[in-house]
Amino acid sequence: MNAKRFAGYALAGLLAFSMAGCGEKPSPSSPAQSGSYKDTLNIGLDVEPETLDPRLARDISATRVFEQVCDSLVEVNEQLEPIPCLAESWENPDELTWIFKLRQGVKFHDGSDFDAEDVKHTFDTIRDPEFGAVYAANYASISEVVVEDPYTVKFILSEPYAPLLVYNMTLPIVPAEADDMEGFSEHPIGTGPYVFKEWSRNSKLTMEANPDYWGEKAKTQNLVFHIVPENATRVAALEAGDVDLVHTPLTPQDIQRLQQDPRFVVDTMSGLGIHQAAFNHNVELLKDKRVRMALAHLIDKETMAQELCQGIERPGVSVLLPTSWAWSDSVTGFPYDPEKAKALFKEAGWEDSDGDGILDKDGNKLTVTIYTYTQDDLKMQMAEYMQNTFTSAGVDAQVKIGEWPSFIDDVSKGNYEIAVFGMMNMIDPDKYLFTYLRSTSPSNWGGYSSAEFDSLVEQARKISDQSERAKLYQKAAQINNDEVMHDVMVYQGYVAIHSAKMEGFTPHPAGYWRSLRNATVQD
Amino acid sequence: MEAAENRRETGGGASLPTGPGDGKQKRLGDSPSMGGFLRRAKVFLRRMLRSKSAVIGGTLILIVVLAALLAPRLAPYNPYEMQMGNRLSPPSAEHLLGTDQYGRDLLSRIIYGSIVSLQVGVIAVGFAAALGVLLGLLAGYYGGWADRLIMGLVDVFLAFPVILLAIALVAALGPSPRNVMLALGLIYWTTYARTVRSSVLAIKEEEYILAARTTGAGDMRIIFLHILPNALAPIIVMATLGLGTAIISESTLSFLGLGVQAPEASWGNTMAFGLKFLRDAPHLSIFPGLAIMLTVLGFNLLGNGIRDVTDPKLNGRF
Amino acid sequence: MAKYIFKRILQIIPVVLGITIIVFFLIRLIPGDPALALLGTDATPEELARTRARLGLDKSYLVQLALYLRDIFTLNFGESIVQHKPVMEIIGSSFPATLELAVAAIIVSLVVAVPLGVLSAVKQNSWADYVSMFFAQLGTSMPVFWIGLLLILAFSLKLQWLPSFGRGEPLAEAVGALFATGSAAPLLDSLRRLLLPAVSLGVMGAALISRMIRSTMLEVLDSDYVRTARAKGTREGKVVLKHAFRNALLPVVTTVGLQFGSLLGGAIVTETVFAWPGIGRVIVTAIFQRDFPLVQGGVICVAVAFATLNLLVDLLYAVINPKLRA
Repeated sequence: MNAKRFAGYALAGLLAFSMAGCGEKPSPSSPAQSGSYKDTLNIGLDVEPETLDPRLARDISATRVFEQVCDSLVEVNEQLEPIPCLAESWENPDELTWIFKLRQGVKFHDGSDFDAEDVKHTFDTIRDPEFGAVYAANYASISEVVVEDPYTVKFILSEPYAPLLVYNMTLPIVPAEADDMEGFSEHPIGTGPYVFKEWSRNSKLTMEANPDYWGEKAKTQNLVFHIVPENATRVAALEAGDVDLVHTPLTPQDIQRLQQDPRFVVDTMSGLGIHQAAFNHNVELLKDKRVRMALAHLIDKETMAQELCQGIERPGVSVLLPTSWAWSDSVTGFPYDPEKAKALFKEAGWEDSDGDGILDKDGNKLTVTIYTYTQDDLKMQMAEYMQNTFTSAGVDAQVKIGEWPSFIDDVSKGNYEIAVFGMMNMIDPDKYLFTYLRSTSPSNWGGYSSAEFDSLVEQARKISDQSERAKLYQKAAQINNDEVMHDVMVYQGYVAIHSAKMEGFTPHPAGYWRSLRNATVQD
Repeated sequence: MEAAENRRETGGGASLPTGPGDGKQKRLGDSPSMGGFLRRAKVFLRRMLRSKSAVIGGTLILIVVLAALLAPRLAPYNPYEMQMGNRLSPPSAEHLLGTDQYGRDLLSRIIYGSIVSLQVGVIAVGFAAALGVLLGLLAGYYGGWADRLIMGLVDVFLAFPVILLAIALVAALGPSPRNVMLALGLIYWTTYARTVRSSVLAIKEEEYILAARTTGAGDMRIIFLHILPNALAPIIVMATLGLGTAIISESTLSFLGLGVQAPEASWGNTMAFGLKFLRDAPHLSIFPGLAIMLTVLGFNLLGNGIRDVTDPKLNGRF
Repeated sequence: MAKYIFKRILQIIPVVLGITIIVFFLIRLIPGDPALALLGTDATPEELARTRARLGLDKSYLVQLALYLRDIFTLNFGESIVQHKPVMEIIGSSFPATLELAVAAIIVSLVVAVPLGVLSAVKQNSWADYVSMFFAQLGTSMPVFWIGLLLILAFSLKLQWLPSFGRGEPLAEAVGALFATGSAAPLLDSLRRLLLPAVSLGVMGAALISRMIRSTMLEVLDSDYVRTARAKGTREGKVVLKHAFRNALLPVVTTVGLQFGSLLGGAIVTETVFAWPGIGRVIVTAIFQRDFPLVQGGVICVAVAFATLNLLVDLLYAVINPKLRA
């Protein structure tokens, strides 16, 4: 998918856009086709949601449920651009004001009407420290939500925030009465095409079609999400016909095998995440830019993408995603080049002077620890493979594998040398660059620091012109690479596999399942 | 009482103290002194060779130990050398058991894995046995509050699935071979303490102990020179069986992502990681699983064999 | 008898207290901050501090422990940090699933072990004896998750006979549905889903129980009164059934009881392999998420179940073996 194609799109062009059913295209498989359809869609999910209150949820499994049960003001299309949903249109009279016109005649599943009060309540509670929402900080730029009239709502910002639409306005809207409802966090109520029915812990989530949906109604009556944590088991369930659809995370081997199998359709596309090797710039050894660069050149991104990921994912270049409007071919990265690495090490004073196969300097061996976590197979394999190429280039590399909470605790305290981890859901480049790499950000764990980089990313979040922003991000990404802040190893792919009998499902690079409402499975 | 004894030996959670009821049975090595050791060893060996179970088990273990000792000579390839172009290939003439996710030779990794698995087993069991025996001796010999404290701790440990404790311990200490051994040692000491305590209770009133005491022998001397050697047989049986349990527990921890970590070649982590490729490369989880099964089987058969030989009361038990 | 039971119940209390304290400190020893695990990498330091305060994690360990003990004294196990739900509710919904799996595994064990054990005892030292005892040895030599995955490989992936994961309707409800609606479909579905996990979990028990039956029966068959019975011309079948097997039942009861306890441990792994929604998986997930209240509550619950089971086994034992009551 060529993302550059969309780079020129302006937000303004979309404002007049209004479509039924949250901008979904009508399904190519209308029930007019011959043959009978199953009354239930069975879907395999890897992780159980923790809570089903959209304001408290922090896992993508919960998001997959909200996509069926709830609607948000704005939705993000496959090109990562905002399109109308519960908001029919919006305007941005000045950089601190956003006004949304709401869709009329929409009802929540309990029969109550959707209006501006619901929007205000949703955004007020998520920003309320007492409410304890995990992502409250993401909404920090909103200073006030004002109800202008029942179908007009105004957001006043404290600072300009360009990613507002794609990051904040996609929050699922809950009824204003949500917090008086018993057990809302297990039984969410929204305005979506499916009504939430039942949550059997550790087992499944059941939904059924909403007969009063304001947009195009769901094509299959029942929808069941089965929780199957093991990737291999989940795929086995698909092959056994127990579920009709599974998606990322999947094992590359499973993907490759099912690509050969006519019973299944495998959709692969570039996703919204990266796997990276983050260098801790506070570690003595890694303070030397030449050492960082040499190590980056020792990471064989091509083999990782081709072999470990079986070609599902692409070798990484920079923090800009190939899918994004911000992508540019002109930004250069660190291709695998042991010779260049050797030269860089030599320049930095690291040579194998005692002939033991390990580089040394002033009597010290070149030792580095690669740290990753046990919950992610692919990252463990990447770390082990990195260790292998490092070792063959004379670097005494160790692999340390912790489990996620310990890992992230260490990393956020700066207790690491090279950390292998991912960044997900990078719909807007702001997310990663501003939050994790800006020198003053509390989440800048590796001590990266570049004044020029800081000013670029700060500027880029203040303007709304997409092509201007793209230029700023491209500059920032190049600085990021010139300083070897970290090394982006692989761009995560997104893969969805479904039974060939399933029709109407359109995959989305962000892994969204909004199109399930159009899906049918032949009996 | 027979069945009640069995029940305790299976390591159950009964909190009744074990009485000295079985003190009268004839045990190998019941003679009061350390003398005649060689003669007894010869008898022991002859009986062992007659036990089918011990012979089969011993042979299996011998093979594994030899594999571990001769690993660099036996392994056809370097177990750490990656060949990325040859990942997950099925068994072939070139790679007898196929290759793993980095194109490393699986046979070589299994051969080298025997070192890690034996090491984990032996050290974990050694640690558990040392701790358990020491506490069991103290509890049995001194009785009183030491006994109540130690046996209270045993009851606490026996009151919930120990694998949970191992998971929490390894998570707390961080996954590494050393910590896996430590955690397994810390959860398996209780059975030793229990058994040793009941042996001590049975032995300490025997005449030769009383005699030693009247000649002025100190507590430590009595415990380690007179009591321990005579309580040794069940400890050896338990330790042998425990080796198998420890190897299985290591693989279970690996399955949960907490075992011996890459790139070290333990059977547990090779198999646990192989499970992620179950469909396309079942050899990756089947062969290390077989290695585990045969080794554990070896320890179990050997352990049962030793029990048959040292404890005539239980003869006929397979 | 009543006094004995009362005493035994009293003995459970210090054990559970000990477990509570151990688990309380152990889970706090694990590096990883629940607030950070909960809020994720985007959190600001202020948010982290606020969350820690909200969860009561800013107080000293001893204060936290005192508060916790006070709470569980009133049977309040707190709320799961991650799921925003009372711990008791989560346990209440997952424990029956584990119980169902454990009971099924025991049934599988018995169905396999009783014929095997009796056969090997009656035909001691025959090839049938060797073969069944060899398999009994094998059964205790395999990691539970490996058995599970071989079963999935064979029956779900290759033969496609049985589903590879998940639980159907709870059995009790499925049986209820059979009577209420006459539809056997939910029951069949539940049983089909139960079969593979129950078999993989039951293998170990089958091995232990069959060996126990064999050895006990051999002892009895060799005893004086059986020899007398035989001498008096009692038919061999009657000897085996009336004397030997009945005596073998005693240790079987205890083994089954104890096995039940270790099943709770094995279930942790089996539940992960087969995505079975039981308490073991809940606890392991909670450990990995640093969900302190849920780990504590879950472990206490398992420990109480374990202790209760031991008590029941001892009582049952006393009931079938009148000699012990004296």
